[in-house]
Amino acid sequence: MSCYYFYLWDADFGPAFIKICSYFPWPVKVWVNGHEWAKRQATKQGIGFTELANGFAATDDPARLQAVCDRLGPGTIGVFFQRWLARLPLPLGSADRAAGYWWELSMRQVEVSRTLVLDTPARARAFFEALVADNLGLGRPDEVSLIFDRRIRSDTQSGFATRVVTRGVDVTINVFYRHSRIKQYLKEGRALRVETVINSPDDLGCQRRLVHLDQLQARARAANRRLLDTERAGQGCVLASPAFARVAQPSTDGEAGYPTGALRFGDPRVMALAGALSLLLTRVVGFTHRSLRAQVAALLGTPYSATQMSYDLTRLRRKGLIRRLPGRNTYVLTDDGVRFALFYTRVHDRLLVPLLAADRPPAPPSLRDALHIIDQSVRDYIRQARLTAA
Amino acid sequence: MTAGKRAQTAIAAANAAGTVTAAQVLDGHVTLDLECLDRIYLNGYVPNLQVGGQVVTFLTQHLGNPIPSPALFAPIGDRFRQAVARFADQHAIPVVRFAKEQRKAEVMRPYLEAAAAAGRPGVVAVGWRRSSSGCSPAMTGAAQTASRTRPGMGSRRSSGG
Repeated sequence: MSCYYFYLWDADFGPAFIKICSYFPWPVKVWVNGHEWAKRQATKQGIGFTELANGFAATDDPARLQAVCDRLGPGTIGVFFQRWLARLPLPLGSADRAAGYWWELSMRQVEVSRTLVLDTPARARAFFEALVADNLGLGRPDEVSLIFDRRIRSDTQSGFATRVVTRGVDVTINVFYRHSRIKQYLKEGRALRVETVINSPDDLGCQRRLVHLDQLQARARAANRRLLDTERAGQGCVLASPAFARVAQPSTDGEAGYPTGALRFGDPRVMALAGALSLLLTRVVGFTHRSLRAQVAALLGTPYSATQMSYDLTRLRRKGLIRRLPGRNTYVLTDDGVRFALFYTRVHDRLLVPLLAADRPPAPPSLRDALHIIDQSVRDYIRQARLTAA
Repeated sequence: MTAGKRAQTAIAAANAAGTVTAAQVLDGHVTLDLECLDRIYLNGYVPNLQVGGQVVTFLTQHLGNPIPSPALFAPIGDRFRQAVARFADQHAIPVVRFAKEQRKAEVMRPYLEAAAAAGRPGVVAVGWRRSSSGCSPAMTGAAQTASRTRPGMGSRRSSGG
């Protein structure tokens, strides 16, 4: 017994295949991809777009592109199928068809996706991995009930599980419900892809025939949306950290695009600058070159020249942390500047300095004891490994 | 309370408790938000060949055979295989045999890429494989039922593969 796979290049769908088996009752399989279809329709309609693997990274008209995607339904797929049946060799002929012996389509596996292209690809991976870590409980029955909008009863046949799959550096989180699942992963490192994979339309309360595709798609799209509403975002799920990167690393910010030096966390001069700015926070009238220089010099404890102050004011201004009041020599902090001053000083003074001196008073005895145990354990390990101290 | 309302209530409660959701974090950081069908894999089936009685009707009334034997499917399968060979020959379409455990998509990728570059619609290649099972999946269902509908039919199977 043989199965024949007709691999096609279709004008509307692009790559596709139709598998026809030579044995009774001559089962057929059809594979197409919705994104590939949408790309071709967008091109025909003159909608500009950039590809992201088999999806979209950007478009000049998101609303029209979404309207194109919404149009793909059972009618379009049915026309594609019948068009190719008319061209391919088949076990049944026109006389069989006239007598009512002809193929109809039902849904074997349908993937309904939502792609969110992020504006901060540099932070996307850290964001997504933190999101996965914060949501390992998504596969629990009550969470699954929320996501799939299905009532879970004691006799519901489903393996409730959250599965995290790592291939290379790519992480995918899967949540299972009966024969179907919802998965979430980072597409090409720059887009968050949520995909409901329906292996049995009955899982979402739909019937199998292709005419029910629209209903199935609507329910799967709702599941995709509910996943994002259900997932909890912890402290690690920060997408807005470009502000930190801009401050802590060299950049080309500023109206003229000049290169601007970094304000590195831990650098004594930068920490003194942040400290002086935080002291001045309550002064709603702002600060001048002279007043700020006096505060920085006092905190730094070493000579701090007027040239150094001018350079630092330039760095602060180009990174958007301060702005100069028009027609005056006075500067005020921007919102980003307030955060820079507060977090640099508080993390340094309240967290870093105490923790780095945690082996002596006034650190709590319990913390000192714990550090002593760690130190002793490491020494023992080195001794057992017969490694001498360098 | 319906499941949908329960979901909304739970989400509202989480929000009221100060828990931040992924959707809220993403708000304002998304340059394109697109919903689209991705992979669509469909079954094609002949609706009126699904139960034994329909198969008997097909073999007797439609094809005009006096006895509804599963052996009658073999010539149909043979004709189909010959038609595929002729079709590939006439249109100069490469025919590729899939080995066991081979990833079909990888085998066919070069043909599809060549077709994409040419931009010409059509059949780019025909892949085929021999079914590993000695028995047609269909024969475990409707056709076997058909063979049982007549006493003395035995258990002959289609050799249409």
